[in-house]
Amino acid sequence: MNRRVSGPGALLALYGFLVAYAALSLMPFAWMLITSFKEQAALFQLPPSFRPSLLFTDTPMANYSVIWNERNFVTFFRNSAFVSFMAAIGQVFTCALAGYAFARLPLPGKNIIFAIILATAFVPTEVTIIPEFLLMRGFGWLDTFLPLIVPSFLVGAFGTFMLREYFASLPHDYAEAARMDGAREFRIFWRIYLPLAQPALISVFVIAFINNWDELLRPLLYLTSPDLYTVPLGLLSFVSQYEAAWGQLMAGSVISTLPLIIIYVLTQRYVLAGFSGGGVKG
Amino acid sequence: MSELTLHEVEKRFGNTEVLRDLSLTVGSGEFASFVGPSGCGKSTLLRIIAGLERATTGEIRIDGRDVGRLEPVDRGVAMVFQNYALYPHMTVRQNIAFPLHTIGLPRQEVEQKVAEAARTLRLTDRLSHKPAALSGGQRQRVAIGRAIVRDPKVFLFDEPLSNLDAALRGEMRIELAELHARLGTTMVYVTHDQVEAMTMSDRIAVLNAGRIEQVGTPTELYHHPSTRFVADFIGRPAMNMLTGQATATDNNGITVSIENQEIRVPVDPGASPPKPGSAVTLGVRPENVAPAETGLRAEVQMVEYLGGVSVIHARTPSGQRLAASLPGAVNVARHAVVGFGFDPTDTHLFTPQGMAFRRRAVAAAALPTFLPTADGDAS
Repeated sequence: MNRRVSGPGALLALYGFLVAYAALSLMPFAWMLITSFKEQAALFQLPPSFRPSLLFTDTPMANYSVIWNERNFVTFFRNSAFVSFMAAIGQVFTCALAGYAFARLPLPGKNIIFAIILATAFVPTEVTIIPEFLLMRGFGWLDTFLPLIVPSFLVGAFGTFMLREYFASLPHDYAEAARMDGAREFRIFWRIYLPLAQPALISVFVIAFINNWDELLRPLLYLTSPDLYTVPLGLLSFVSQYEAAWGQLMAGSVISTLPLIIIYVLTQRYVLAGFSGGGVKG
Repeated sequence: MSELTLHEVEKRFGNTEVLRDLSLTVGSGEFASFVGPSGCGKSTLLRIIAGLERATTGEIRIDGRDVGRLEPVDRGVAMVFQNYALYPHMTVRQNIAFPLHTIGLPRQEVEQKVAEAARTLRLTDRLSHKPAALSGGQRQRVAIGRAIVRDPKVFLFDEPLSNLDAALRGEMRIELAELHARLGTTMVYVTHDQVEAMTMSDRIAVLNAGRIEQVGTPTELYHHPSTRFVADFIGRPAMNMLTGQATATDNNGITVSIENQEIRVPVDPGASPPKPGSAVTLGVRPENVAPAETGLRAEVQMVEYLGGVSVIHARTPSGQRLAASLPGAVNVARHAVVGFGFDPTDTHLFTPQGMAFRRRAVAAAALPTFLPTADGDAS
């Protein structure tokens, strides 16, 4: 049952709460943006100032200019984009195959296998990171992108769960019609169900892309050459033992956030449909 | 054109027996329908023929070849689903072409077959549309198009009109009958709607609880139902069923007492005629019941005016229901007690177990016959 808020007083209170909550949520981002337009000297001013002081000088984009031209940020950005894109593609590909198999194929013991895969989502990264590191070292993949990409081509619990639910929600009649039309199982998956699962596939892609874009631990562990640094690792390099270039760090953070915002805005419709699941009617 | 034979087909899901000892031959080019109430196993039977289910025992033969273990595509059958099962992300052209691409037909041949099917089904101007942009009837035609491009030996239809409104259902019935006449392919049609089966089929198999009750032409089923179930299922409004007792039997028929009226029913008493005083059920179709000064007295409960006919629903003094279907409008008040009569030759007689006594043949002269006009037939 939907309860609707009525009356101007209640509506005003609701909007007031929502605006306050939105302001609170946006505060860190606003502070990051303002700080990226501040001189080093203005950063520690007390009381704190919300004035982006650099905007009132001859070099308003000084922090952005430094990180873009002098601190190799373009390379970090490119590396992150490549790694995140490949890892997200890997997740979508393997999770789609696994999700379809769990949802639609008559496999013996599939529910037990699925439960085991789902259980891996509850194992903290810290538990698996050392054996994973030893494995990657054994493969000779240290200081390459492979340890950041290849594991994503192995099945991920969340993506598999989400796509399994989505495939299961699609009508079974399509598969039967395709079988009558002569299609075998892979063609049914590839030509019928995969295109129909587009919203869920996009959701899994976006989530995997964001996770990999934000990943710090694995790049920190596996990458040693600055030319291979990803954005989070590159941003970390702005902080040294004795000082931190906060203005540049914030400028880098602003730039690193932009692709995620753009991707989310462009795919928001699909992501919502993907989470609501099974929007296709027969 | 191909012959389809079902031989002693049985299907069980665990301990539940869905189909029992089912044998039937659908002749080459024949339009055969399976009708029956929900849960009688008719759709399961169709899915077994299609290859989407395996029969527990029994044989499915197409042109004499056992296809029971073959994949659907290797059986030479095409199926039109109840909810069309059109691929929603594909255009009409892609939907129709899908089975042809799947079997690896050259692109040019695919284009040609799709264009031909679209022309046949009046879909040429809809080829670039997606199913969501089509009306129910158009979707139905696309589903048929996807089936006919494969040139199947046997067409299977699983309640294809049940999602359409009444007017469109009527149109599509005619279109399907015309399509069958044009293609001449063997067609098997499943429906719970006896009107669809009666209007389109060469023969109808009435299913009940996983068994075939009776197979016959629409007129055979209407005039000579072999069981009370078939008599009740075929024809609308449903046949009146009046319980009474047998009072006498001779070679010309059985005399029964219904509501204190003696009626001599011209049926073949068979090898085991009913003993005097044993229970029987007299069946008479509402369209064979008319107002009469003498006859069964019954109180009018309701009158349904349907335009061309009116159906009077009444109740006898012992509480038995009686319906009469009369042409046009009728002038009768609710709760009026009136007389109903019928010709005994129009009646049916059933044993308490629901088996019908064989009726004497319906006189051919009683059936209206259209004669060709002087300048030949209409075609």
